[in-house]
Parts: sequence; C-alpha cells; structure tokens
Amino acid sequence: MTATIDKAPDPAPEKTPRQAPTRRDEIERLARLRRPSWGTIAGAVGVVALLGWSSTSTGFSGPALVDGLPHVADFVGRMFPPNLEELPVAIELMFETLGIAITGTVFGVLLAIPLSLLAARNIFPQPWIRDTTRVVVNVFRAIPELMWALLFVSAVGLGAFAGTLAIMVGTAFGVARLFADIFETADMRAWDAAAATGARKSQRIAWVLLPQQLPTMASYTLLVLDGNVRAASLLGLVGAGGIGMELNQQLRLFEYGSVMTIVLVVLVVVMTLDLLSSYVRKRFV
Amino acid sequence: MTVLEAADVTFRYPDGTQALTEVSVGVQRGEIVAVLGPSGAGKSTLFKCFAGLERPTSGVVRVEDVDLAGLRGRERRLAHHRIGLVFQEFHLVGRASVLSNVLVGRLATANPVTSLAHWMSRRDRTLAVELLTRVGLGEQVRKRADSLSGGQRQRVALARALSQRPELLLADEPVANLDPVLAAGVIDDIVRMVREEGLTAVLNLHDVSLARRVAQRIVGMREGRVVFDLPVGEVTDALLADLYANEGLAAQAAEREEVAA
Repeated sequence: MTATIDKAPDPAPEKTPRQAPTRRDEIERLARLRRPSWGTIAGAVGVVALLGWSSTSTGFSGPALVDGLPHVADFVGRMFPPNLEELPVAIELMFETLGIAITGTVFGVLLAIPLSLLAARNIFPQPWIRDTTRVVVNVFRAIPELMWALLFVSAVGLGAFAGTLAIMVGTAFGVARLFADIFETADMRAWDAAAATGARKSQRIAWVLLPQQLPTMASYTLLVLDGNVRAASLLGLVGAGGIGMELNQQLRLFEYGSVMTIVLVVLVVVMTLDLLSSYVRKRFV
Repeated sequence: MTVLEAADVTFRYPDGTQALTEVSVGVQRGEIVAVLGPSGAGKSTLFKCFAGLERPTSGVVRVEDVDLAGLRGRERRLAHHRIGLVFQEFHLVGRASVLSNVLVGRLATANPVTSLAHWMSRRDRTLAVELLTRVGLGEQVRKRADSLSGGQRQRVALARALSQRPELLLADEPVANLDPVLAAGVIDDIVRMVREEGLTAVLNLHDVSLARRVAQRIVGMREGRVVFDLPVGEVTDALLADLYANEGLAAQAAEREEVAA
C-alpha cells in the first residue's frame, strides 16, 4: 500500500532505473562471484594457522596414524573373545558405578537449585547477588570431575564415597548454571500475578516457578545423569570407586578379554540409559 | 465510603510516553465501575496504578485510605492481598492444577514455611474448592490449568482473586482474549461473584454493550484523560461515539508507540 502511495504522484522516468535488475548486464554483475573481503581472507588464514599450530603441538601426523592402524587392529583383536568370567564382577561394579552416578546427580541437583535461583536475574534482581553467584559457579564449574575425585579421595579415602562426592559437586555447579538459564527464560506473568496476591518470594518459587519449570529441569537432569554415568565409569582411574578401578587393573594386567567384558557392560548400560532418558524426556516435555 | 481513590494521577513511562494525565476517580464501596476507551487510552496503566503494580509519576492512589506506594515488606504484601486482580491473559501456572492456582491467592496469609511444601490449611483448601464450585468449575478442581478452555481459565483466575478475600476487585480487559459469547458469560460470572461477595469492582472493558449491561458507572477514557464519569443511565450514544471517534487512527498511533517502545 505504501508503495502505491509513493509512486502515484510521481511516475517520472527517473524512477525506472530502480527496476534496473531487469537489464542484462546488471543481472550478470549481480550474478558474478564476488571477491571475498579482506576480513574473510584474514579470518580464513587465521583458522588455518590455528589448526596448523595445534596439530603440530600435538604431534598430529597422517603417516603415523596409518602406520599405527595394524596396532589398533592387534589391540582390538586381543580383546576377543571377551572373558565371561569377568562378567559378574563387571556387573557388580557397574551397579556401584550407577549408584555413584545416581546419588551424585540427585544430591548435586538439590544443591544446584538454590544456587541457580541466586544466579537468576529475574528471581534476584540485585546485581551483586547474581554476579557473585555466577562468578563462583563459573569458576567451580571449570574444575573437571577427575580433579574433584582426586581431592575427595585424599579427603575421605579411596572408594565409591569419594566418587559420589566428586559427581555431586561437579553436578551442582554445572547444573546451577543450566537451571539459572532455564529460570531466566521463564514466563513471569503468573509469578507477577502471585506477587500481586501478596505471596512471598519463597512461596512464588514453590508454587509458580518450580511447577512451571519442573519438566525442563527433569529433562536436563536426565541428560546430566547420562553424562554422570560416563564420568563415574572413569572415576576409578583415580581410585574413586566404580567400574573404572577394575578396568584400570585389568588393563595393567594385559587381560584384554576382561577389558572387553567391562567395556561391553559399560556400553550396554550407557546405551540403555540413553534410550530410557530420551524416551522419558519425550514423554515429559 | 470510598474504597478506591485516585487523585490527579499522572503517569509517564521511562521512554517519555505520557500514559495518564491528572486522572481523578473515586469508587464507593459496593460499586461496579467500568472503564471504557479506545486502545491506547491508558486503561491498562490506570489498572496498574490502582493495583499498586506501578507508581504514579505524580498524584496519589489510595485503596481503603492506604497508599501502596508508601509501603514496604510485610505491610505492602498484606495491602496487595486486599486487592484481587484479574488479567487479560489469565496469568495462571499452566502446568499446575486448578486448585493449586486458586490456593496461590491464600499464600499471603498461610504459614510461610509449611506452605512451601504445598501444605495448606483445611480452611484454605475448602474456601478454594467452594469458590471454584461457585464459578462452575467444581468438576475441574484437579485438572491441569492448561487443559481448560479460555473461559474456564479466566474463571480460575477469578477464583484465585476472590480467594484472597479482597475488598476490591480490579480486572484488566478480562474477556478481550475470549470470543463474544464466552466473554458475556465470564463477565456475568465476575459481576455475580462480586455482588455475592459484596465487593467493589473496577473493570477495564473495550466492549460498550458489556459495560452498559454490568456496570453502575462508566468512566470514559481517551488519550490518558477522563472524558466522562457518569452513572450508566446518563452515558449516551453520542458520548460513546465521541469517545471512540477516529479509533482507527488512535489505534494506529498506539501501535506506532508500541513499535517505538
């Protein structure tokens, strides 16, 4: 409509060049490949340089990989057949691993909720609360679970308890950040309405915010549990319990058949959990 | 006795838009007042000022002789509790049950600790179910709020507001999101409950015939000012035609303002 109004008073010929793309040379000019801008070229050079530096610093080399392939085949070959005598041990330790992951996830998430509330701008608008919590969360989130495991092994000794604590702390800080972001995207209309009834902030969290966000939180928790089972399988490498301890031992004894059994048990459990959690998440959200 | 009193209320948004200019309105106990006017007239801003959700740039709003803007903490919460609000878009917790949504209106006076575990007193629960039954939702008490139709949702919101046992009920375009047949039913329910509870009500409406049907007094607003404030019998078609004259242009202006904001 605006276009007609614009044109109506002035259908003068000088307006026609606007429709110039109908002309042949104009079409060809627009269709021509454009020389990339200097910025694009500089960016591309930068990426190639970064890749070059990082691969040389890690000794990445194609020929070495190709030469190594027979060794890989040999390694895998020695894993067959899997040693079934190892199976009962592997299953028992897998249960311990699952226990570490589940306990750690549950307590970690419980710790994460208050942290995430403090870190959510729409719940605590005071910048100093939010910023302090965010800084603390981000710093501790950067510490890998294996480091926490080392710390807790020295604190409470070898075993599953140290592993559970490591998963719990890692989850608390990781999930705190996730939940804070979830809360910040919440629809605040019901929250505001509850505030206008005179409800306290704590009551609004329990009656409005959490019920609204619970499905999303549950879905992320399942995802985190997935990751935590993987992490818990490795914690044994530093003596923090679970199936990783046995894996490490069998590797050192060159018992590749047993290693294969352990790997298969982990594989089955992780895949089952993956299927289960994706099914539940679909039902939830 | 005056339940709601606004004196020379002027409101300017931070972006400089002047939404209200020296609005003065008084509402007596038991009165049902409709606020009418084209979109962009400032009805919603006035609702927010009445409800204590926004603080007037100048002028004063008193509900039962209390100026909400001057209160903090517990006193402020309890003052809010005396005013029931109904919003255009319901503002319910969709995933929570109908009952739980209504119980939100009881939180202000509930035990601050046990209520966090959703434990509410028998009295509160009985009141909530009773109100739901009276607005025709006795069968839906345990259903999720987002499984209800628009008209039912607004009745849940009404029950939530009434569960506060308020003195004053304020509604901002409560039926603008509903089709006309449902709208009339919801408005009738609101007015019936207001009468039964002996409340005072101010309803922002855009539908002239609804306003004429339920209100005792109509306040006509335009461009942030009160154009007329008359008993419903004295509101003539000419006055209304004048109020809505050039609404198309006014609506366009409002839209432009929204885009600019």
